[in-house]
Amino acid sequence: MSDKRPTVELGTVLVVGGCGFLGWHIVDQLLNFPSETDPSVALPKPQGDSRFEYPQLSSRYPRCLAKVAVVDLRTSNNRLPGADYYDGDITSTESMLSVFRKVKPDIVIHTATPNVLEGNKELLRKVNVDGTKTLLEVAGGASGDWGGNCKAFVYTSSSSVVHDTQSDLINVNEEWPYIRGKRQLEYYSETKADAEELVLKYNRTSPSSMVTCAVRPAGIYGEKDTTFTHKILEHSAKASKTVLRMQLGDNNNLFDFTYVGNVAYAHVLAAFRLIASQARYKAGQAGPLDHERVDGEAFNITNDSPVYFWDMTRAAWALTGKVIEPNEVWELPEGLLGTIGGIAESVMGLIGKTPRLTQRMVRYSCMTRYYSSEKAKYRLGYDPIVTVDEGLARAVGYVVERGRLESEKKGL
Amino acid sequence: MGVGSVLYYSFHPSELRSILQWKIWHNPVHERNVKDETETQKICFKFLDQTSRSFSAVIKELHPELLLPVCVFYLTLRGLDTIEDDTSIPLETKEPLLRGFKDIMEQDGWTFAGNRPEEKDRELLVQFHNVITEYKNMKPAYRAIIKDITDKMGNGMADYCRKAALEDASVKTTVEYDLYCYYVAGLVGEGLTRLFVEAEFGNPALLKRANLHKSMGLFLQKTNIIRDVREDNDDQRRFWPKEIWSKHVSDFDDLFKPENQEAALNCSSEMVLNALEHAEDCLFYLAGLREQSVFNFCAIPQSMAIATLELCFRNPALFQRNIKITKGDACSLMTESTQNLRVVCDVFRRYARRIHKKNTPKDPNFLKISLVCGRIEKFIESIFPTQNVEDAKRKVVGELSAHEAERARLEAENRQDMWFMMALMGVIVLIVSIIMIGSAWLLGARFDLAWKEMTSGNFRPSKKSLDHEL
Repeated sequence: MSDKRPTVELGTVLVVGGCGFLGWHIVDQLLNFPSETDPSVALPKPQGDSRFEYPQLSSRYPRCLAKVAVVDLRTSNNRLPGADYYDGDITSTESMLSVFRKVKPDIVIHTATPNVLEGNKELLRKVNVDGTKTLLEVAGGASGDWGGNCKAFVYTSSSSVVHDTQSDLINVNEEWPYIRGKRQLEYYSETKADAEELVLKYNRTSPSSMVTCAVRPAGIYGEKDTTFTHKILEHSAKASKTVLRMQLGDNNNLFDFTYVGNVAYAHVLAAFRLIASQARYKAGQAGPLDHERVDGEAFNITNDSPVYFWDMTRAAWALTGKVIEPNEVWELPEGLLGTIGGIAESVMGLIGKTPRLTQRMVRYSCMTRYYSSEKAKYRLGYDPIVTVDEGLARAVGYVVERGRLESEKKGL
Repeated sequence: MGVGSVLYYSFHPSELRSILQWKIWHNPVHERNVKDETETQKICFKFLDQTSRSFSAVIKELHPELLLPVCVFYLTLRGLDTIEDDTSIPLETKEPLLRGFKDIMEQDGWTFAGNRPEEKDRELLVQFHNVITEYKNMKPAYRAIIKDITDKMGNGMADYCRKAALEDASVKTTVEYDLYCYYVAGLVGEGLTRLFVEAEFGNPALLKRANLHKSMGLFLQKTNIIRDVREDNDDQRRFWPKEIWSKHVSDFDDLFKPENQEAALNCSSEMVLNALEHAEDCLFYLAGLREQSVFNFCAIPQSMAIATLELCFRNPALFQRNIKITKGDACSLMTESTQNLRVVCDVFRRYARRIHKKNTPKDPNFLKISLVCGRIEKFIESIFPTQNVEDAKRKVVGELSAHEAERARLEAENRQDMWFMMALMGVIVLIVSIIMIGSAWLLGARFDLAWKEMTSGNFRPSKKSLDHEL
């Protein structure tokens, strides 16, 4: 079986933000999963528990032939053997040029972004928009010669660029318009939309005629994730059973959760298709048909299997031994909780704090939010290889085992 | 109607309503023309009534073009089944009968009296020459389809009987389980689809995507296998694949022991999960049908199946007795399955959500079941989307969609009505007050004194004066 999986030849790939959560998974995949063969970088995983047993990733994702380099603000953490690491700042042209001179990448995969939760507006704009522009210009050869030609540029966008944080999104595709300005209540999404637009417009316009595309993951989670898995397990570890029984909304709302490995896979596929298109353009052959085009396009990436919001959290809690049965659930209507959240926010706002329950959180746990990834399936040949349930076992297993190892260390 | 049912329906009036609704308002798309039927045709329909509980009604409402072909197809397969099921027939007799049944169909006057007396459909084979007569009267294209399926199914059954007689025929893997269901039901789906397409009542693409019609049969068969687990086990038959049950109990009989209830429920929910994987294909298939009676014929059993799966899901009674959906539910499902695809999709979504509501995290397949329900909902969205790009784009530029504009108009109208009502009430209050004060004044009320007392702070009559009067 493992011999049948396709081989993807990519040349030299520079992963920008390669020490972040998604970046690490992309690097791991490009290097054919050192995390599964090298014990020094293996991910913690509970042993002897059938719920956490799953097949290796390396036998299912394609085999990559690539020289991998990483640039990140700090590269001391999340390193993998086999990649070259460079410290660099994407908001500085000089810093980027010096990295490009050393790496001479054929492909740039740009995943760098500040942490949504701690990012202030200024920083978000500076890194997401200005940084992306700087990086595009350096890669495309517009900021001076660095001794090579970058052929393809894959940008990690976000599915939230078409979401106003309030409305339901039901099986939404890439034709949905960007939400910006006063309709966009999340500044992060606004900067991601601006940056995505920059990237897509830059397609084939740079001196080196670099081709570009954008990947929009929806609800990304997996090993090492600091948002979804981390937050809900932190909640269940602290909260009493009574609190865990509370459910906001009726739990008929479907939500996309996408395993990080599948998102990484989409980046690899996008890069691979882009260099093929670039070669066609360069050889003067007819470009791809409109409905097959990858360059200049954005792609929703999901697990193609939305989950009822609370089922996902309860499945994660159940993996840590906290089972909430359907008859134990207290269903709290959204209207009531939204109001309480609103009051809590105003009161806490007076003393300059954010409460644990906000209106935004209430809406998020009650809304339907899932996307169509038909375009990626058709044009990139994408397929969510790891299922949602396996992904969750991986993500939770990582947290559980790491917690166990830490408490063991403390015990000694 | 017995006293029991009178009592039952007085507490479940909505079910009674569904039954009456179906009985009174359901108009068959096509009706049999009994007076022009030949003697053999009448006999065939009589056997159809006798041998099938659920299918005879829907078959008899089929378009005249397919009425007899489907009836004969059904009776032929029923004949095969009656030979296969009869354990009193030795393998040496049985095997050639099953394998050669396609040729038997061509022999005028063929009958078979070799079944044991207790075999319930014995009479069908005793008078099988009637079926053969009608088979031979059919269009050659239909005959070829029926013959081909009879051939495949006869051989499939013969293989199974041979295996059962010589070695162990129990279903081990889920692949074997699918194969078994394919022989007993998937093939029927294939034959029917070919008949529909031949009659131009179905999209020819249905034949190209074999997994669609295969799923139609498998979904029904798997549902029956789940629902009948107790009855089948009592009759020494086991269709649940070992690959699934062995994860939950070490011996199949343990499923029926009360102390293993939790394991049994988890096992049955894995079986339900396995069946639900076909639901999307079934809806996709129904989208390819072009004639109302054919749609009804296919949709009714599918709706019944998902409702039955919901009934079986996490229901301990499954292992104790025969369970079935209530007559009221069955009638409302039939009403809903004889409209259009959208209504059938609503049925599927409704039952998917009910399954999701009963799903519990203590089940090892909790998330997988939740995911399959979500996929059914997503699939329905892909056929009948609730949102569209045009509305989303309009919203961004601040325009309202037709629907939203209508809603805004209604809201504005409501607001206007409300203001009008409040103003009206204000006027009434004003008039009533004027009348009351006016009549008090006419009767000599001293408002000047009252006003003076009030301005000096005396809002109540003084206590002293009251005491004085007493």
